[in-house]
Order: sequence, then C-alpha cells, then structure tokens
Amino acid sequence: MVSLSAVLAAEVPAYKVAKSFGQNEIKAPPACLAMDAKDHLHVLLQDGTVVIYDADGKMTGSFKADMQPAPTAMTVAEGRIYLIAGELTETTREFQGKKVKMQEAAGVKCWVFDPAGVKLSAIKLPGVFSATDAHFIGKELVIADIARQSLVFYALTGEVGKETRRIDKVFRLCCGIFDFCPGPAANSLVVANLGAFKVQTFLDGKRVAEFGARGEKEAEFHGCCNPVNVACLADGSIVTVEKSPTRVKIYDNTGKTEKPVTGLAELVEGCNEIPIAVDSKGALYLASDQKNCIVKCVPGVADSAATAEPVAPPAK
Amino acid sequence: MKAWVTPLAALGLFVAAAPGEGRGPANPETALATAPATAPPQAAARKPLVLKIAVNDVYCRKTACDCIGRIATRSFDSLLAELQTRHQITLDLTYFMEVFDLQQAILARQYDGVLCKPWTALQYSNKSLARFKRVADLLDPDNKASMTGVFLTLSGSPVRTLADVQGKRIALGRDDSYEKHQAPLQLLAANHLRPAQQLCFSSCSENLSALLDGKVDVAVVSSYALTASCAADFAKPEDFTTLAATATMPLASLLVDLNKVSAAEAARLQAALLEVSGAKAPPDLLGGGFVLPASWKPTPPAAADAGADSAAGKASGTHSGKAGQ
Repeated sequence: MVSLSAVLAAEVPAYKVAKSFGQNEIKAPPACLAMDAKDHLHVLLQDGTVVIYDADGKMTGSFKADMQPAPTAMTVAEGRIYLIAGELTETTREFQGKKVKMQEAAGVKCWVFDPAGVKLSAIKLPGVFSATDAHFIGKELVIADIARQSLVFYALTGEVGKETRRIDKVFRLCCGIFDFCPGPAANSLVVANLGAFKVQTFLDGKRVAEFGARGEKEAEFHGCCNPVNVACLADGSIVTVEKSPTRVKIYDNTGKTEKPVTGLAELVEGCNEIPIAVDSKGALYLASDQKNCIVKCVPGVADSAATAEPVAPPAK
Repeated sequence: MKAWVTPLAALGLFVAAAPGEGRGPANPETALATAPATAPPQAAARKPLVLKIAVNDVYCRKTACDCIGRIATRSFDSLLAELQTRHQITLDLTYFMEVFDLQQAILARQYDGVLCKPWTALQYSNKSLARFKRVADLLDPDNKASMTGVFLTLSGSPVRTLADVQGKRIALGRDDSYEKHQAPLQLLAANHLRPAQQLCFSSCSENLSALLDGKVDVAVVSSYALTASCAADFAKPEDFTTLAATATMPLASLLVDLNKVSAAEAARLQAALLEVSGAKAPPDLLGGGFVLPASWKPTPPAAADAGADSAAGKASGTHSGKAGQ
C-alpha cells in the first residue's frame, strides 16, 4: 500500500548530489551565480573574478572586473554580464551605548561586460544603495537592495536606469542577505524573506503567494533566519536553501509538499547565503564558500548505499 | 558522577533533603537550594569534576546569529580556564545554534547540564527522567539576570493598553517559549482578556513580521528581541509601543540534571561559578558572570494552556510545534 505522504512527496522531484567542480579555479568565496540561455554557469567571486563553466563543469572563460569595491551581484542576459557593486561610506552608529564605526551602503554602479571580460558600458542605477542580487524580470533589471530592504525595477535605456517601480516595506531581512529569483509565471519573482521564514511570490509588485514558518519539522525552516536563497524550476517547483546546517528542499509552488535534496555536505559556515542557479535541464548549482567549489545536484534518487557527506553536527 | 562519595556527602544530604527535591510531590521551585555559607572541605573540592554542558545563549558568539555579532560577543573560554585552574572543574561545552537540536539532546539526556533559557530544559520535567535545577543565573551585558515577554503594537495603533487586547488578534510564541506563550497567556487570563485570534510562531521575527504585515494587532516577543535577535535588522524600537510585560523570569541559567549530577557536585559547581563572578568575572563574559538563581516557579504547561484556552476564545492558527527561539 502506498501511503498518502508518499503520494504527496511524488509531486515534487527528488534530487541528489551529482558532483562538485571548480576547486582549481575558484580561489575566493563565490558571491553570486548566474545561468545564461546556453546553460553556461557564471560564478562571481568575492574578489570580482567571473569564472564561466559549461554544463559539464568545464571552465570556458574567466576575467576579473576592475571594479572597486568588488561587485556583489551579477546577472546575465543576451550574452552580456551585468556586475553590480555597492559603494560604501564610513559612518558611526550606536549599539547598546557603544559607538561602532561601520561601512554603510551609499549607492551602486553597474558595469556590463562581454564573456571575454571586455567592458561594454556602465549604467547608473539611482535610488538603490546596495546590491545583494540582480535578475532580469521580463525586460527589467531588478536589484535587491538590502540597505533599503527593497526590490527596485529598472528599465535600461542608455546610461541611466529608469526606476519603474519598487517593492518595499514587506521584507524582513537580516544578516545582509536578500535573495530572489524569477518566478514561474511571466513577470513574477520569488523572494527568500528569511527574517519572516517565508518564501513569497510577487506578480506585478503584489504578493500573490507565500509559504513557510520556522519550526522543527522537515517542511519548516530552521535556524535564526531562513531560507537564505531560492530558485525556481521549470515546472514551477521552488528550491529553498537554508544555512546552519545546509538544507536544500524542493517545494511545490504552494509550499505544501516538499522533498529534501540528499547527500549534501555543509556548504557554508555560520550565517551566510548559499548562492544557487538552475539550468534548463533542471540541474541545481550551489556555491560552497567552505570548499570554494560548485556542487551540482540533478534530478534522481540517491543510491542509499552511497557515501553521502553528512550534515555537520552542532558547532563545538 | 553519582558514585562520587566524599565528605561532601553531608552537604549533599542538605541539598537533597531540601523540600520537594527528590521526595514527595515535585517541587515547583526551579532554583537549586543553596548550601549553608560554610565552604566545602578543601580536599573534596579539589577532586576533578567533569561535566558535559550544552549551551544555547542569546549573547554567546558561538550560538547567536551573525547579524547581532556586535552585541553577542560572549565567550566562555576564560571562565572555563578559571574553573579548571581554581576549582578543578572542567565544563565540556557543546554549542547549539539551533534550539531544536538542543531540545532533542535534552530529551535524549546526552548532557549533565545545560546553559540556556531555563524553560528550554524545564519544559520536559514531566516527559523526561531528567531532574533539572538551576545552579546559577547568568547576567546579561547590562548585568540583568531576568527577562520578560513584552506585548507590542505598532506606534500609532489604536490598541493602547493591555485591556485593548480584548477581541484583537495576537501573535504568541509556540508552547515551548515561556516568555512568549505561557507567561503572556497567564497575564491575559489574570486580566480576563480574550483575544479574538491567536497565531503562534516559533520566533520573535515571525511575530514582529505578522504585526508589521497587519496580520495581528499585538505581538508578544522576548524583551531582548529588538536589540539581540535577527529582528533587530528590520524592526526598530521606535516603530512599536509596549503595552505590557509579563512576569519576569530568568534569561539564562546553568541547570544540572540532578539525576546525573549529585547534589554535592551541583553545590560545588554553584560555589565555583559564584567565586569566579562579580568583580572576578572574566571580561569576555560581557557582564558580572553568574549569580545565585532567583526563585522561579513556572506554571506547568497544562495549567497555562487551560488559561490560554479560556483567554483566547476561538483560537485559530495555533501550531503544535515544540520549538522556539
């Protein structure tokens, strides 16, 4: 007899770890992943280097963007690589009576490159103060601005992006993490609203769906804030990524059914995001700043006898 | 460790014979009965004592979220060295960032004691063979040993007093959070207040998020939530009005399982912790260290929940999970 839970679980695909790659080229922690239409994975490292891999994990190109500070977000479209860097200013703030000097976000700049690393243009994006993630939603470039807890939409015409709208006052973000991805429907996007322990789908600026809660069950999110990253599969399933310990789960688009990806090791230490990208075949690519590599997961059930790397125990 | 028979037995007998501890009906007092002022015999005190302690502390850098890293810088390293050097007591600490994992470890009785919000361990008093008592309370960076649950509304809300909670929607913690669940329900019941709806979440962040999103009119959070939790990144104190606070309770205590640690050992640990506190407290403890445990008799969950039912009216959306943060 097949249990009800088994039937429900079959509604989302099972995933397993296929391989890891990039250890030889990834010399700094990965900051962002992006996938182009040819399934070429672009890996932005924290030092501003972009490394490009084909679907088999073979490096096809690399360049280092001469941007200061180094770019923190990246997206690719129509053969162009958009790198976005935040500009910082030093300020003093008070925490529980103690004055602390800190860097504060002051604006961003966007430079556009070809895959060979040739700079094609620079675009000003007025109105955003930081960039933790960027995607094209329809024809608009959308920037995740953690400093203002906003998603800002730009029409790109010429050297200055024109802000068309923004989504704000609804995100509960922390730890400097703010990730989103294109949603399953046209012009939709999905946000990892980690402080609220929710995955939220927006369409034309309005929240149309959400799921998630903190809890001890597998279907819930754990830790002080999660999920840190999200991605969407072609069938509308939503992939969530949690840190401390690393957990990746595939949810149906209602969030009612989920299945964990098996065999994953701990990918980051502490409160850090785990950048993710998805190719056209549904393969997942996860960045590990523990091992400076990319972990590829593919649809399928892991061999139970396989030696899956265990999730790390509580910190000692 | 229970087999450790020394001249401290006399002291142990004193502790063991404290009212309600180990005999007759359970003693609701969670603080370890303190020993007389007389010091334990020196020879016995110098016998090495090793205790496995699980830790989940708001201000500890190994268990707090990075986003409060400027505040949560507490380290126990110096304390451990002091205890070892001066008192031959070794605390083998295991740090738990995730309180769910700590709860599982407590239920499995993997440790001799815990350093955490006391309710995290005490909630299992009727479900576990463990018999936890609070050996000492740990002061926060402001040298306070207690906390409360606070009832918040948005600034400018028409809800202005606790009495206004009547008939409103409220976000509470799940039932494993004393300051966000049991204590506020007791306060509501004592004031004969019945919210129209109660939503129960596992974190202060979710409660505040529900309030900011307009899903509830009132949210109960831990008193440190706006300064020492992830919520500090998105919820500013000036955006909220405090309606009321629950009765106080210990923020963090070192508890030992008296079914694994003898009463004499517990008393010895207590004396040692107090001796390395106050003016002698290592700076990396962020405050004055440990103090004698304040009296705290939490209401058993069943009784509190009964109060909640009568107070909450048609409660809906209440989760049954057992985790909290």
